[in-house]
Amino acid sequence: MTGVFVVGAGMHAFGRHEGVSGMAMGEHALRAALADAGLTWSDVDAAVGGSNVSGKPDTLVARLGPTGIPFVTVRNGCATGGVALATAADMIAAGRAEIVAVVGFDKHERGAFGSDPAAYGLGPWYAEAGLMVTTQFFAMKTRRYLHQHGLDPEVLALAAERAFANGAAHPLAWRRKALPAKEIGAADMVNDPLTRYMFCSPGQGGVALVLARGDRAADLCERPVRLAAAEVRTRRAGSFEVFAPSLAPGAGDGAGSPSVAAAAAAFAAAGVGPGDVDIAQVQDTDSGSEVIHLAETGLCAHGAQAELIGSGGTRHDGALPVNTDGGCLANGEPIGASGLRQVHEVVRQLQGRAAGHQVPGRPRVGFTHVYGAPGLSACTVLTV
Amino acid sequence: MATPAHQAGRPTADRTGEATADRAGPPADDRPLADPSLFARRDPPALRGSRCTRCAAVTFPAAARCPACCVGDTTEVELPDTGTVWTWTVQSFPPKPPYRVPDSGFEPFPVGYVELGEVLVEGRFTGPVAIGDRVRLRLVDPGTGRLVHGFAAVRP
Repeated sequence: MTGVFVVGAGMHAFGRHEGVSGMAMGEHALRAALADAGLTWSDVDAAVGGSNVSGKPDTLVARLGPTGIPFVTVRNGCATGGVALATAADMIAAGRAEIVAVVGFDKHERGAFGSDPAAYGLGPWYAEAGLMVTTQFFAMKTRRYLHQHGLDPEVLALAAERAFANGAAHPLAWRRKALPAKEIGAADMVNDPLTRYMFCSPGQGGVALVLARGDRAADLCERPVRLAAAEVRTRRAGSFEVFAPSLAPGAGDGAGSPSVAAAAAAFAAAGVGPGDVDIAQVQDTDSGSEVIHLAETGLCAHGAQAELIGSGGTRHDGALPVNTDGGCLANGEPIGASGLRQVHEVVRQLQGRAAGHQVPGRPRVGFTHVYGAPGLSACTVLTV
Repeated sequence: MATPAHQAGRPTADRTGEATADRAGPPADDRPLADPSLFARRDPPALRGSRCTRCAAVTFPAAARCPACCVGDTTEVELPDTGTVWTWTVQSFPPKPPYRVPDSGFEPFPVGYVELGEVLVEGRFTGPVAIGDRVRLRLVDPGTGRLVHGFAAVRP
């Protein structure tokens, strides 16, 4: 058996955890993943960790043990988890390690992320004008997309309704209460057309995975999950990204989108197509992002989301189960952990041991997509 | 289909706090520009963009090196002062610093992108708009006493 496999998955519940540091959540997840694989830290050949704001992941060796292994730290915004995983897979593929641990964690305080214009190469005028707001970007992109593809804004509430229904059933999710679409649509407007319940919140949590080279995987795990592809792409000219004083005409048509590119690369590397996917995770920073990303990744046609979501097709028992653990909407977004949460959920679904709603019919092909500023996406294909 | 909540989230022109800047308008207005480099001229206002000599992309603000292809040099261009609304939202809550809440208190304000010839430019609107509306460039005061570019609907 060649290739790279996930042989262990662990997670610290997402939410807000007073008195628990981000690093401690990372440690918890890492120990859980090692236990899941039946391994100890001393069996690990190399590690990759990511955190946006909650400390240096490589200092986890002080908690797990100073075994002398290489430990790579990544910090790639919302795509941190995806980049960490791709880096770990490359270590195995390159023959540098047989067993690699991947960990991501973060602990964010409440409220939307603030940003400094200078960090994005912008003058102070941009913030003065009131434009330096991430939620504005998501709302403007969503409105344009709905307009362009003739979609009713109702789809935004329906996507969130499904997310909270899945979160309610998942013991590690943050938002554990189902919400009817009507209540979601009528809630306070954050940035029209997106209401309070259509945005995820900065959150807290940790996730870890243990990867193994193919010839070791079957011995370590009863049902190893093949990481058939892990691809990262940055934007090209013409994409529609946050904090842009100007855009090219046609922005948002998918030209230049890192999500389009990363998904296509992942499917090509795995030798499967979007039509083969049995279960998916797509970045749902907000309801509109999910709607857009379903099409950008190729999982459905542009404009077909209303029918797909409205008919229950993305429910855990639908034709294309999406974000079965509640996604970012129900879990919040501890940035370093978020992309790995997606993989954690899909791995457990493919193994038939989902913590929440289990997808029926033994799914065999999983897909994950994480996206972040300023135009960076990471996609995986997972198979059993 | 807009729900009542969608409607409620749209401020009226009276609530945006920018009507004063519109009425006052240059040349009587002596408030400084937040960043003069954004403008080709002030009265009547026009934005200063740049066009790539290699890939022809038009971008705003003007940049010496083309931000689209990152290879070509650029020449300055004055952007058209009227265009159509490409997308919009309403900023319903006060942004975090370095944004400063006006002394008069925060009022929601609409923002979006306007198709100005060969480029989409982001800015504030002086009142409610819809995609496809014709708008014209205006100087607006976001509450700091320093003027930035914005757009007002062109009434037929």
